[in-house]
Amino acid sequence: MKGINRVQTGIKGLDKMLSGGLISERPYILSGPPGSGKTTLGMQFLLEGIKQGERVLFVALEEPVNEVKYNMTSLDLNLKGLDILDANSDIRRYEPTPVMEISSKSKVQKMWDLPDTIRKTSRFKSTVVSVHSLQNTLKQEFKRAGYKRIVIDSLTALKYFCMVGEEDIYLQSFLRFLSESKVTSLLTVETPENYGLTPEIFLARGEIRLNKTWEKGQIKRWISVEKIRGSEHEEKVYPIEIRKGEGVVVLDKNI
Amino acid sequence: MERLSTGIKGLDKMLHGGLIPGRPYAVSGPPGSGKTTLGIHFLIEGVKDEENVILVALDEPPNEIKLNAWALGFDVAPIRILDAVPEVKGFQRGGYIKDVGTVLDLHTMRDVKDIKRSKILRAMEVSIHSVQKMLRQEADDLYDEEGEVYSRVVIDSITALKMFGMKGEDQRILIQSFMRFLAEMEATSLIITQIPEPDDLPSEVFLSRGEIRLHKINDKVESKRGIGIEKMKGSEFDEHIRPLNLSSRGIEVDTKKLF
Repeated sequence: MKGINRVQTGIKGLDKMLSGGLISERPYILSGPPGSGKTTLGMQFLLEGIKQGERVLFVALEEPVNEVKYNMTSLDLNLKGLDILDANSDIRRYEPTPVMEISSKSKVQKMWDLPDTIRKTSRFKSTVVSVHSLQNTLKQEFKRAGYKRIVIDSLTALKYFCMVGEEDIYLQSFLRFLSESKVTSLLTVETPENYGLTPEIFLARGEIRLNKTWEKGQIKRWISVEKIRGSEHEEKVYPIEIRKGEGVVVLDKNI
Repeated sequence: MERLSTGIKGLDKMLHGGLIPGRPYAVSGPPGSGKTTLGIHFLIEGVKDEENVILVALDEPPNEIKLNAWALGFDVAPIRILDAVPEVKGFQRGGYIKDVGTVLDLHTMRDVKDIKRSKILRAMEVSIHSVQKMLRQEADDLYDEEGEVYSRVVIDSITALKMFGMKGEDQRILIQSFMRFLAEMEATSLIITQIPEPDDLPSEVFLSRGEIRLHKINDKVESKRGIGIEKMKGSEFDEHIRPLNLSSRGIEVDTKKLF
């Protein structure tokens, strides 16, 4: 096909499974149970962008940003050049008339410069992040920095904690916003053991799935490409390992 | 970074040295698998190092926890306890479990008069937000009076909070906020919970920075226990389920054998 741009994921085996990489400027789902390697794979995707001279952004919704930095440093991944947006809400207040502010000016920070300790909620007001405030911040940041790649970690947290009520409508408009912003995005989705078709997968242009199973009392890790619109892809499931200095590695002699 | 010992040698080995401090973790398992005992090991280890530790008792009355811990040979006296069973009221500052037991007895005596009504009231009073408020108050007091902080917290368990707290999306947000609160306390916390249903993913499980899962199989003759690590962010870990022995010495984990 003409005019299709492929974006390398930073994981050789996965690029091969994707017939060369992800089609650029589209949103993709990266799903898997807790501890399957989603954040790590997302980081590799961003680091690959940096290698190619792109501006990239990690949006943290699930863990304090100092912890994200620590975790990735412990995997010996080089975080230089990585931008991070702290989209974690503060501790909620429970006073009868709580002072709550919707955050619209969370700042993008350099991952490398993050402090080692957690940001503390102010005693006087709490800032909460909503899907609207996040979208506004991202809009400004896209304009300012021209990000080419972005990871939302996780879409599940965004859905659970930042979209009250009409989740499916908000999801659709958020994914549409990402498409229109012309960034290639990976959105992580936390999955339970039994996992069926959910609206976000239906709406995204593709799904990469990480899996973690216990076999004879030992963890096995797998990767598969569940669907990619407009592209052929590998149908098989491949074993993976998470290695220091490398991150997620697809294990296959042919890859 | 330094690792924090769980108080169980075999488990520390599985964790490649222990837990990364300052984070909330989930401990899941079926009834009788050893979750509370694991929590007590974790707190006692802190007491040994003269740390400030606190147990938030929500499922089992503190006097029962004390008796069970005694049977296992633990001296639980220095553990502070936030007694949220059956009412979020009986917090004993700087006290011992024994004292709380007495207070509880008094409560029970008073409650005898009109047991049904007080039961309903109790249920309404247990909420994530009241527990959070009391924990914050207690942490503030400890800091103001002694300039010290809590380094270990055990929530035993979150199930009661979820049952009596709000439902649906609100509950998710409450749990998210509570876990942010625990992280901002910079204490290492264990949140005891049930094993999630196969088609469910509760917030406390996916937001936790690690999950230690206890297993229990009831054989024809005896029950078999095991321990495995489902996830542990920022650390390598033993990716096998190991046999767990629960005896009068507490929990022992054999890292050389398979479950």
